[in-house]
Amino acid sequence: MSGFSGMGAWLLQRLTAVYLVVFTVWAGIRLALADPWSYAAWSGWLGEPVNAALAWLFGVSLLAHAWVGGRDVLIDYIHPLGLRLALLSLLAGWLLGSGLVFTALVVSA
Amino acid sequence: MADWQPLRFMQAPGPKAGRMRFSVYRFDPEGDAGPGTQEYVLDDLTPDMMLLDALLRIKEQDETLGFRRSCGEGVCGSDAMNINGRNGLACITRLGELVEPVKLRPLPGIPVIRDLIVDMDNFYRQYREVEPWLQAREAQPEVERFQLPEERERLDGLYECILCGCCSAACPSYWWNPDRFLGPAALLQAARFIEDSRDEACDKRLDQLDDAYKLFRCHSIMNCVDVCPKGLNPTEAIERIRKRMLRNST
Repeated sequence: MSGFSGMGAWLLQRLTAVYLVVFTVWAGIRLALADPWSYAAWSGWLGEPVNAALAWLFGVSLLAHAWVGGRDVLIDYIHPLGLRLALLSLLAGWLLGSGLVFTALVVSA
Repeated sequence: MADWQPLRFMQAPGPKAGRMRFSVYRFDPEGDAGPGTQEYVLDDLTPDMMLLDALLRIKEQDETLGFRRSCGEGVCGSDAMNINGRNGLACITRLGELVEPVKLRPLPGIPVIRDLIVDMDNFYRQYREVEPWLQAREAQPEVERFQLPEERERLDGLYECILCGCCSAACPSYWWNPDRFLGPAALLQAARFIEDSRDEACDKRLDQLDDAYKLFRCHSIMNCVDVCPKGLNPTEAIERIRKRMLRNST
């Protein structure tokens, strides 16, 4: 546990940050160059299995990144243990819920 | 004298005598009143004098004022305080650099014992926690433990710390979690032994620092670098520890 909350979390934050930037730039360029410039072209591109998987990974990375950052803020500023655990649970629940919804969207697309 | 600036002194033919105003934090734990500030005015000061000289003059006026000082030349680190909002050593801060009234406060975020004297117990506990001594399994050799010049160079910027506490007391992460985040000063000392080629406890040291608090509350704010009176870079030292952890864990 201690390994994950220190170096592990720090590393996760940086690796996800790199992926977020790379995917955002790459997907942004691909979508901007879509021909024709239409919803159908975009959803078609995102519907391809590889692209869908990469988009899903983007979503998961975003949530993992948000988890480390949000957890950092709560550890820094919220000191009463009960309140901190409640807020951490809330954050974790919200991020996990978002992850499930996002996964369902990707799978159904 | 209200707008004394360093550049204007350099242009002046020599030190000018002057009057300066000081606003000093006062707190007497035995008194009834809470903390407050007290104004002092000193005459016949010169811009080349150090703030510590002025404090000693104030002490002649008012012997109830409490502050620490020892060497008077930036080596012992005793007279760290918050000077016009910025942590520094009174003994190496020239009066000519300061705007008036000179606001003197104890190091922020650290419990005050009296006036400008703060309780450094927690700070020293954290220093001990990083085990700031060379750890080697072999018995002490007959001669010194040798180092290559390159190995010795890695300690530059790490061994010069005088433990004045200016950096830790300027660190917001340290203000929020002073009990569990070790702070820049102790982490610089940790780096000093982690980087030492003669030390054999590197892995253990890295393991000890790998939790959510001791090192990883550092968010590279770099206030420590900004205020260090010895010009050291604790943020970089912490980064070096992180890099070693990364290398160890992969």
